[in-house]
Amino acid sequence: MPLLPAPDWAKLIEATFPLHSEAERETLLKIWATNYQNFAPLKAKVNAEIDPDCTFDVTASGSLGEAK
Amino acid sequence: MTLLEAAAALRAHKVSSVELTKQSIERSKQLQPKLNAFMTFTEDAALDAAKQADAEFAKGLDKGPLQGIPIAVKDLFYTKGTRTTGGSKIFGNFVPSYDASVVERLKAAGAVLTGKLGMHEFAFGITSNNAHYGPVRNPWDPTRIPGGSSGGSGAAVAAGMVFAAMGSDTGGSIRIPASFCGTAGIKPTYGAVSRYGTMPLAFSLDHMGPLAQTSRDCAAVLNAIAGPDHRDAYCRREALPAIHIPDRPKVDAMRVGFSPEFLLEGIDPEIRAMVENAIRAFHEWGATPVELKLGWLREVVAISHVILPAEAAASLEPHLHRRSEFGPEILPLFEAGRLIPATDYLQAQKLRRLYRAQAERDIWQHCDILLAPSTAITAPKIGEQLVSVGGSQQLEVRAASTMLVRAFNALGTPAHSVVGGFHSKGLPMSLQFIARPLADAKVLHAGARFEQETDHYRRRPPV
Repeated sequence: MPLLPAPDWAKLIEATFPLHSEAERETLLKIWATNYQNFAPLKAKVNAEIDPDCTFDVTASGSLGEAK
Repeated sequence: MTLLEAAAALRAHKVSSVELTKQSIERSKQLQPKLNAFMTFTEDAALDAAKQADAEFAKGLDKGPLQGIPIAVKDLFYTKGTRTTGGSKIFGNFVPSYDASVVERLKAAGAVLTGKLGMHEFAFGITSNNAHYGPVRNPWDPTRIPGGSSGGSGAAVAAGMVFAAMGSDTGGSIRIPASFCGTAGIKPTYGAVSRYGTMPLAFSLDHMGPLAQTSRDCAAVLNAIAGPDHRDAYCRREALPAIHIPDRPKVDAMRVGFSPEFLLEGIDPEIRAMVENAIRAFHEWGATPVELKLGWLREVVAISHVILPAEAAASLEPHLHRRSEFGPEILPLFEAGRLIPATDYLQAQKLRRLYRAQAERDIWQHCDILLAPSTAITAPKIGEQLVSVGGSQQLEVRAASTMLVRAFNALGTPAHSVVGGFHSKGLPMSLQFIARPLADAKVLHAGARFEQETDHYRRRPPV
């Protein structure tokens, strides 16, 4: 069975925050809908062939990846 | 008076540092009930530093343009012996035992630190409407937000309380208050300024930088605070070259990029016209306009929405069980970060490198600077959730404030905001200059030329 394109946030919220009220769960779902769901289609751009980061260089400068 | 004008006045003995400092503190305290820009005043230490600066001037010792100049810092920079809250209740009584690297360097340059500035809680938001310490207000209209998260920094500079203020920028938090308050501000290249001794929000997106009245003032502060620091693992090992802006910065060999796609879409029509006028002006001054298609920057914004909350949740995880001590708007943002799978976070970081390569190919091979608005809107009212843009279209305030700035945190580029003009509502509009990593001097040169030609920065708020 293929992977789902994105994690099921409703289930994640329920499992991670079982004591949250309905309103708190709604807020988290709204954050997913506005901020996070657009990310799933972008993941198709990453594959092993074009992965520029096959090794992790601890001396690289964070976001930029070039040597400091 | 700008920072550099004050520095000249000190050297011409027209004013002393003690006089400047007393004026700064008096004005700050007078405006505090109206604007709530400060969290803490450090009056005694400031006057001691001012006396020392005057004594050094008398001995002929000149440490550079910040010597004797009143400056304040956002309340997430550690200050030895002075409370540092991060705008939070959780760190409401936290008194650091050491100074942040930036604070050390400001002091070493002779700056006079007058206090700590208000901010959005944990720097995770753009309104500076703080649930614990009250809203910071905009000097142009106190019913409006100053932007954030460095809202106190923007308000304090715009209202003439200090000559410069330090801010931090993880998704626009220097450039948004610069835009809404009508100041200059620069988010330098990632790693150019040490984050040692600052409260982190998202380690791979956090940038420290100044807000001030002009590009030249920003350059003066940046020259003092940038440079290697082994205590910040992501600080660059090589220093930025010192930035010297000539009397009349040349732009005639400059290729100025702009993108009607995304960077001029869905924004206030007057802000769009302001940017288009700026493009025409740079053309008249000899620059070459270059039209680009940068709709893909939306995707960079999308990956920052994965990276930022995941890193923020990791930073604050030890405190997330103290739910009642977080502001109600902030807590869900941290909790959302806990839901992001590690695989998605890592994919977002990989994508970020691809987009950086794409920026090199699709932007920086074609232009020297990219010109865009800083924000799609002018300062909204406190509490406003939705704003109208160009008639019927409505945008959520957070998105309208951040959509044009976020991508450049993920790309690690320098991004510099200056006052671009004034809206018919009487509020400032802001122009953003972006360049490839390490080309901080280019954005400051372009900003200085624009300021020299337009003088918009001279217009002050009615406080």
